[in-house]
Amino acid sequence: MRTVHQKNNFIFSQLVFLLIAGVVLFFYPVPAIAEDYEDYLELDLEALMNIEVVSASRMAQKISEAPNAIYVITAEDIRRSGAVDLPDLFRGVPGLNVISMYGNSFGISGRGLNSAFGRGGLQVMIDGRSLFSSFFGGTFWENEEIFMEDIKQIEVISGTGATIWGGNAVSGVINIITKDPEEDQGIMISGKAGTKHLCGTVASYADTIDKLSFRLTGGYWEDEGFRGVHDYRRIPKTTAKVKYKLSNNSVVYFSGGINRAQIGLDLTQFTKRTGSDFRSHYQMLRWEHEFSQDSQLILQTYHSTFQINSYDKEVRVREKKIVIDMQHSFKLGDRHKAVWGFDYQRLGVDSKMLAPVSPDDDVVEFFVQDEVKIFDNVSIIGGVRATKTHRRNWGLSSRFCLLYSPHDNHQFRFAYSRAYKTPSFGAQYMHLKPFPFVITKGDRDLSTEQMTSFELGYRTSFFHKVGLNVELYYNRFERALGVPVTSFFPVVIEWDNYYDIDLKGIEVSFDYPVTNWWMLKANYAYQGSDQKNTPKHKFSLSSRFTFKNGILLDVKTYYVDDTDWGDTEIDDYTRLDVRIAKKFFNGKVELSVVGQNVSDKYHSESVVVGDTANRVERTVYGQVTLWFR
Amino acid sequence: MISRVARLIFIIVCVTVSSWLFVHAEPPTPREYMIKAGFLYNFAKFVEWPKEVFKNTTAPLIIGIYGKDLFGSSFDQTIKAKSVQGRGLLIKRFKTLDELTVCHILFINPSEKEHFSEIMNKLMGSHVLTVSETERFAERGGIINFIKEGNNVRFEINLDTAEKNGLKISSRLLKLAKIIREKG
Repeated sequence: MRTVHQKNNFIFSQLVFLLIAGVVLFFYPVPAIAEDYEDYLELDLEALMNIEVVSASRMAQKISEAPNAIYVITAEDIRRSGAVDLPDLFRGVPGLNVISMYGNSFGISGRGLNSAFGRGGLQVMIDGRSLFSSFFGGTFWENEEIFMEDIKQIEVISGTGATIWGGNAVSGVINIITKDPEEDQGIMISGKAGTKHLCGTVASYADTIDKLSFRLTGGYWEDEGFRGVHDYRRIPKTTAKVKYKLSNNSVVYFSGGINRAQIGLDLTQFTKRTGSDFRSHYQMLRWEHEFSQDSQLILQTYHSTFQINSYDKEVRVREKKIVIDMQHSFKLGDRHKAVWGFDYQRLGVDSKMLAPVSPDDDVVEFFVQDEVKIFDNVSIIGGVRATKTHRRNWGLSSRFCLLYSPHDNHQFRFAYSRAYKTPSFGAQYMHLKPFPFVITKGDRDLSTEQMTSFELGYRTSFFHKVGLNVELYYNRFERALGVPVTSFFPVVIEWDNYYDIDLKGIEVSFDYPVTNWWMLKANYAYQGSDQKNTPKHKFSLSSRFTFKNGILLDVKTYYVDDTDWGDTEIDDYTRLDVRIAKKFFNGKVELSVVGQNVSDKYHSESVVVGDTANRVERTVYGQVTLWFR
Repeated sequence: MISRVARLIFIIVCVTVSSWLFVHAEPPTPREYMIKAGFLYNFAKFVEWPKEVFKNTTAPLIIGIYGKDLFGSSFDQTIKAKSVQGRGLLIKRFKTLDELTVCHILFINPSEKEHFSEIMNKLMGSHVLTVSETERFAERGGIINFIKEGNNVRFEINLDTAEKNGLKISSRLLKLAKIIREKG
């Protein structure tokens, strides 16, 4: 039932904060940030060294040449958003649907789909290492193995990225890139505290000794989650990234991390509350070699493990992955830019939730893609990926793309692709009783899911300031895996390829530096599909203010349309996130206050256990960050 | 529902259009280049040129910009009011090697990468402080190179090349720079 309150919330909340911003601007004394030449020529050397270049250029070159719809989230975007969980960063991405379930869990899905387990295949990677859990067929956002402070940028690719990134990228790719150990060196310490009994500390140290550079980050996070729900988090974790320059054109990276999370699971509907241990660790070695300016090789291998053990001993999963990836990119003459490579993954799953016969699984994949410049302003890109899994025949995914720039500032993209997604391990072999009276069964003979998609994109920037990006897509998702309930007591949920889905939509992104101190970004997505639990309309508006007196203000508003989850309907909601910060002592200390879901005491985003709508609550926290460079 | 979204889009379009009314023909200089201009002015303050480079004590110090201009015309206007060691400052722009005349600081647009060696050849022995922002500029004959460290602008100085060109760099500048020395 829509309330009048929510109807006006959206525009109203932005306007209120713009007003507050204006007041703050007025009453706060003294300039600290220069805005024109006069000011910059007045500054002394030290002051010039301390000013941050807030880059409006989103690496324009790279994005406008990409054969995919890419949305980039920079380290600056992450810092200014005040987000503590990765999924919150994706709410503003038009091609992703994010839902909070409990205080510690999220579901992120690609275009047109919206579910708790990222149905449809969204490949999530950190520096080329996949976080996708083959067992669950999705990514466990509870198990955040990375520190937000270590992220250099996140590239979200909407649409099928299967040719380069593999079968799990059928609905898109989230590529998280961490900072190079040579960047952002020195010591950083930060502490946060706020509602939900949240408290977190992070310390990071990066340095260079001759040819070796490294970054070591460690931290601890804890919070009690939403009220009345047993969804606490206690997460100690540490990561390391080491870089060694073998020669002028050869670099080796080693990275590793350990995470020992303890997460609450609320099963109040059926049984006592319990918690579980999520532990994970990974080690990765990567070699980048430049044969010449036109030929580069990347070879990497990693091992990652994660374990879930619930305290009531019902849920026990251990998943172990060993992967070897190779990629060689080269240029042929003036017109060809090609890349080819292979990926090998060996997966081992151990769980009492699996049917007795659950083999280790091997996946081998080869891919090749070529970009040909036909005319000065027209390029064609064609790519193919062959996948062989243990029990199935070779499957072929392909992508064809046409890029056309009638003028410097305009680029059109047309793409067609066909991708296959093999059923996840869990969907095939799971035999699970997550709660008494509920059984989830897998099926070894499930078919592969198939996604055929057509995309039309347009990117432009006018007056050297405004960026506009429009995407249209039509995706046909066939033999989609779902878990229809086949019986009611006990509840039996059986994986099956039981339907075809048509997804079509439009995405519009717009960014505009209104003034030197006000950056405006807006996104809109229309998702038309017969999936009733996908919101038809999604909107986000973000204003970033960098005031003359040094105050940094970020205001973000999100609007998500109502969704129908079968027995329960979730109303449309408006969410407002605000961050205010100021730096002191020449940029060495920053104090900030962040409010999430500020406009409402709570709203619902998804349906959880017991068919009840969840309650996503307001969170406020304060943070202190110190830098010693 | 649609009307609410449409209303919002309409508001944004209005804000955008009304701001366009104030857009100048020349795109505004991004902050990064205003910062670098500030640095160029400071280089003029903290570098000593051999006396014979200036005709007399009041001859202006010339900052040359080679290649496509990234600084904008406001740089010229604001620098006119400044002075360094009693000298006024002047900005000159050069598009080709032939146009290159006397200047004391020369900022080379990184898009002129291919012509670096030609430019260095022409400037040999002429006491010009060459500045750019390309990888390894300071290792290839340039004197000062702008780099980025995260979101901050930093600079590298090749002391050997500076000495070879008869330039003395104040310690105030050196202590904030990343020093590059010629590799044997």
